[in-house]
Amino acid sequence: MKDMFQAVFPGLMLMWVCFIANGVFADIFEEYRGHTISRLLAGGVTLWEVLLSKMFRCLAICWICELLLIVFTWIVFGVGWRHPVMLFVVLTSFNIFLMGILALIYGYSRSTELANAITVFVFLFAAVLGGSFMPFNELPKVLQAAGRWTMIRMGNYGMESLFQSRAIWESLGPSLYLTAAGAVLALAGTRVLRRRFESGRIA
Amino acid sequence: MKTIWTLVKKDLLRDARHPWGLIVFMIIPMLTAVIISLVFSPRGDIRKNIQIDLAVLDRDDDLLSGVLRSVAGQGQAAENLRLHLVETEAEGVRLVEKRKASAFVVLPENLTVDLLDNKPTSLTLYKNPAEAILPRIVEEGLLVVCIGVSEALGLLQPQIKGIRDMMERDEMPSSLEVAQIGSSSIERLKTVEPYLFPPLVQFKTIDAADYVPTPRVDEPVAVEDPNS
Repeated sequence: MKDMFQAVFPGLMLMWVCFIANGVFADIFEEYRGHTISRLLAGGVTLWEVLLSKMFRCLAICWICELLLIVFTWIVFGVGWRHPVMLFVVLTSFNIFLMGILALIYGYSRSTELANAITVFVFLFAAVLGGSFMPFNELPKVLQAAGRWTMIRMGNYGMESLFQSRAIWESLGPSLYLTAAGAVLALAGTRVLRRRFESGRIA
Repeated sequence: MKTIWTLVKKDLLRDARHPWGLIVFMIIPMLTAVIISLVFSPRGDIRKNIQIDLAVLDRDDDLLSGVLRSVAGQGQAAENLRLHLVETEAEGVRLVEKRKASAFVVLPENLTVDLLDNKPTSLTLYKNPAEAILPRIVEEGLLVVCIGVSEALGLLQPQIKGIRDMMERDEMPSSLEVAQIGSSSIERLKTVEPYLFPPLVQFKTIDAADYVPTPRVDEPVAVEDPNS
């Protein structure tokens, strides 16, 4: 059972971290509607700082959840997590990409409900193709070819490489891609969000 | 940067006061992974649980067909194989159609005599189309038995013929006759002993973690030149 758990759990963990991040990210709009952000702005804090703080908070919660899940599964299920530093790099790159894609989706969606629906669709799609529900190698070749490009597969592949003690580059390659793409998406998403908050177009 | 840190700290402290939503979200992947692992993990007791129902029509009812039937009742085969002896072909086919048997084998008339006379003969196998794996196991098993019986007959044909003749007689065979057959059988078996005891090709299952890759055959191997 342990081998199967170890094969399936990382993908499931990444999928649920996506949903946790989604819930935390949506809080920005709750705070906007509750005028918390207006009060902060009145206190001299810039909108840029507010948005960055929310993204860092989201990043921190993802880290905490991942850390708790890793420690718990290591102690209770004996999952052989290896190379803590590389694991941190892989998960951080995944979290950065997650922040980026959330910022972009919430920035461009007309309402938080629409953003919520889009993120659920995107995350579930990425989870199915990325091997969260079944071992990736068991998927048909066509789905594997598409799933290889999903964030969940890239993060999962990084962890799989660590489990199997592959060369560091194998887990570092997808992580670098995720970090670079995530940084670009986060930058673009934050700019869009800032413009929306400044214009007051929040449904 | 200090302002951002202050804002993050404030939010995280607020989250820490109400952690239950996050905890529930964290339990879900673990529960899902446990369920998936329980469902799809290979089970240790599966070897014992496999039960193949095999219908057999024995039209030969002689020495070899009796041996074949008794093989099915010994060792590992006895745990995993359940024989249903039928009287007619229609009865066997009906068992397959009713999904009470995974396969149906017909042992033809004069099987033993034909084999001892070196005449080719054939077994008939009906596979249950509603099942995928178990009929295939029967087919592969039967193929192995056919090869085994053919090779054994090639090796021990005179001795088996002798045993059969002894069984057909009404009187008890003499001790000398039995000893002769026994002794000649051992002599014949000694010729194949280096290949069969233990077998040259063996099947062994090991854990993936214990697997040590061996170099491929086509990989260059340093060979010393005997002339140098």
